[in-house]
Amino acid sequence: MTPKELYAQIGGDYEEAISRLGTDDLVGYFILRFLDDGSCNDLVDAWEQGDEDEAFKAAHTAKGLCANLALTDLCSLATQICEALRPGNEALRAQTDIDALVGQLKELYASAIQKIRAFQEQ
Amino acid sequence: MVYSTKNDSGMPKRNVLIVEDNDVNREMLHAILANEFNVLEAKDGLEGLDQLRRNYGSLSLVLLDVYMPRCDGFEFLRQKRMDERFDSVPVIVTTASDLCEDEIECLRLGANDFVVKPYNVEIIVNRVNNIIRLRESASIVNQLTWDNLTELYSSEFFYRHMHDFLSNSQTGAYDMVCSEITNFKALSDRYGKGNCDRMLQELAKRLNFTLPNVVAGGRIANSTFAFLIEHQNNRDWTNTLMNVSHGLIATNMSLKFGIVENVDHGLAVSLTCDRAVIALEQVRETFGVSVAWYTEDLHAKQVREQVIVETMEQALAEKQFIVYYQPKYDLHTGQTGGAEALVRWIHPELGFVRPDFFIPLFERNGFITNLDYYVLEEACKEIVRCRENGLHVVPISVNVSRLDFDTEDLAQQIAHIADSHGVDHSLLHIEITETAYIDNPDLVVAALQELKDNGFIIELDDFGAGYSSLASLNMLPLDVMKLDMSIIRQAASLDDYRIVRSAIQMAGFLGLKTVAEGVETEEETKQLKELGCDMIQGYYFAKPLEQREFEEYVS
Repeated sequence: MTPKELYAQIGGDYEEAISRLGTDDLVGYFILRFLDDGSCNDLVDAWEQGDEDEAFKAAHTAKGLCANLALTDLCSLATQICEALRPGNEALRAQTDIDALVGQLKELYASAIQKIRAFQEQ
Repeated sequence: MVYSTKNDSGMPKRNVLIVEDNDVNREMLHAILANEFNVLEAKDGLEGLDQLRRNYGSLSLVLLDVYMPRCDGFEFLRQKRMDERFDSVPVIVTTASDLCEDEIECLRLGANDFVVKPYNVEIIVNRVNNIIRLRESASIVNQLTWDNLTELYSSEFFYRHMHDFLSNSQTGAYDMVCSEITNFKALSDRYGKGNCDRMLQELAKRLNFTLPNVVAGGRIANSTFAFLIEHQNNRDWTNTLMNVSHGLIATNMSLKFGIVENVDHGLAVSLTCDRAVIALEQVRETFGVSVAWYTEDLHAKQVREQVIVETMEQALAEKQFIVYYQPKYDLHTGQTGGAEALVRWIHPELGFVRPDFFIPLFERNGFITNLDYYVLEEACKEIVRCRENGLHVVPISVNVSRLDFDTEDLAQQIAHIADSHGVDHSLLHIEITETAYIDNPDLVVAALQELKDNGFIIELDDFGAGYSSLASLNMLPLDVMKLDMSIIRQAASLDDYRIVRSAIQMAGFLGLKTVAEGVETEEETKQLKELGCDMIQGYYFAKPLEQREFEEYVS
C-alpha cells in the first residue's frame, strides 16, 4: 500500500498532504506519527467523562492536527465538535448533536488507526 | 547558539523557535521550516519562555501555538512583553481557529502576525521571512540612528537629519559647535578604554545639557562631538565651556571647541562640521585657549589649500615651480662660495604662492618628496649648465625634508640623480633641519652617513630656530652648520653677538663650517667675519636669483 492509497482509505486528501510535506516519504512518516497522537482519544474520553472544557481543548488540537495531516473527514468532525464546544457558541451548541459527532469521530478514528497500522506493518 | 549553516538562498540560517505542545504538529512545522531556518523546539509556553531567556540574542522569531497545557500562547505573550530584552524577537501565532477572537487577543498581546492551521508551506516560510526581514531592517535603522556609546546621534544620521532640518527651516539662524578631546589617545593609553568610554558618555551628556538651545547632537568621530544650536549673538563661550570637563576622570583633558556661526543651510552638514573642526585645529596646540571660530580668513586659507592640493601635481609636471639660487658669500675668499636652491611657485590662478604656505602643506600630504627630487634634478642641471658654459661652478645646497627619509634608499636615489647628470657629489650639499632628526634619529643618521660616505656635504639648516638640540649636533654626521636668520636678526638688533659667537665657536670645535643666514647689513657682515664665520647668505650679499640672473652672477 502506498501513502496515497492509504489516504484514500481513511478519508484523507493525499494531494494536500504532499503539497505540505513535499515528499511521499514524509507523508508516510507523518501519518505513522499520527498513531502516537492522543488528541482524538482525549476528545472522546473527555466528552464521555463529561469534561467539556478538556473536550474543547482536545477537539481544537485534533482539528489542527488532522487539518495539517490533511485527514479531511476526521478534521471535519473535530471542527464541528470544537466549534460547538467553544465557549460563547451556545447557540451552535444547542443545534448540534455532539454525542453523534463524537461517536462518528470515534468510529472513523478507530478505522483510520487500524488501516494506518496495516500500512505500517506491510 | 550561533548561525550554523546557510539556507537555500545562501543567507545565514536564522534561528526560529517553535512553541507547540502537539508533537506531530511541532515535528511537521520543524520539517517544513528546516530548509530555511535553524529550528528550536519547546513543548509548551514555559519551555518556550525558558528558551527565549537563553537565546533571545540569537533568536529571529517565535512560532507560537495558542492552546497548550501549563502555559498557553496568551500567557507566553504576556510574560514576553514584561521583559524588554525580548522585544527584538517577533512572534507569529499558529492557530487552528476559524474565529478572530484568539487572533485579536494575540495581536493585542504583542504578536506580530498569525498563520492558520493547516500549514501552508509557502505562506509560513514567506511570512516568517518577511517578519524577520522587517525586524532586522528596523534594527539596522536603529543602529544607524544612534551612536552606540553616547546618547547622541551617529554621524551619518546627524548629518542627514540636520540636513533635513536646515532645509526645512530656511529662515532660522544656527551655529555648529564641534568639540574634540585633542589628547584622547593619550588619555586612552593612560586610563584605559573602558574609563574613556564612560568619560565620553558623560561628556556627551554634559555638552548636551550645557550648550545653549541645542537642536541636536551627534558623535562625528571617536572623540569629536557636533551640536547644532540656535545662533548665539556674541556669547561668552569661555564661561559656558569652562566647567564642561570639570571633574571628569582626566583632569588634564584637553577639550577644544570649533564654532561655525550662522551655518550655510545649503552646505552639506558634514562640510560644516569639517569647518568647525578646521577652526578647532587652530587652537589644538594652544594651551589655555579652547574656542576658535571659523572665519573668512580661515575659509580663504582652506580654499587656497584646496586649490593647491588639487593642482600641485599638474604644477610640477608643467614646471610651475621655479628654482631660484641664492648665492653664499665666502668671507675668507671674498668670492661666491655656493648657493642654496630655493623653490618659488607662480600659480596660474593664485599667483605667487609663498613657500611658507605650500611647503608645510606638502609636508603634511607627502608631496614634498616629489618637489625635493624635482629641485635636486634642477640643481644638477644648473651645475652642468654652469660647467658647460665655463662659468664659476659653486656647490648648490638642496633641502631634504624629513619626509624624504621615509624613502628607504634615499642616499642611493640622490647619488643616482647626481650621477645621471655627471655631477660631482661634493658639489651637492644636502640641507636638513633638526626636526628630521627628532622624528626618526636612527634612520636619519644612517641615511646621512651613507650620503656623507658617498661624498655629499651635509648642512644643518636653521640652527638656533625653534628648539635646537645639542644632542642632534653630536649625533648627526654634519659638515656645515647654518645659523638661522633669527639669531642673526636678534644679535644685530641687540648689538649683542655673544650667542652667535658661541655658536660659531662650538661649530669650530665640532669641525663644522658655519654659514650665517639672513645677513642684511654691512655691519652684520663685518661682525660675522670678525667672529670667524665662514660664509654669509642674505640680501646684503645677494637675493635669490632666477637661473639666468644667477648664471650672470657667477660668470
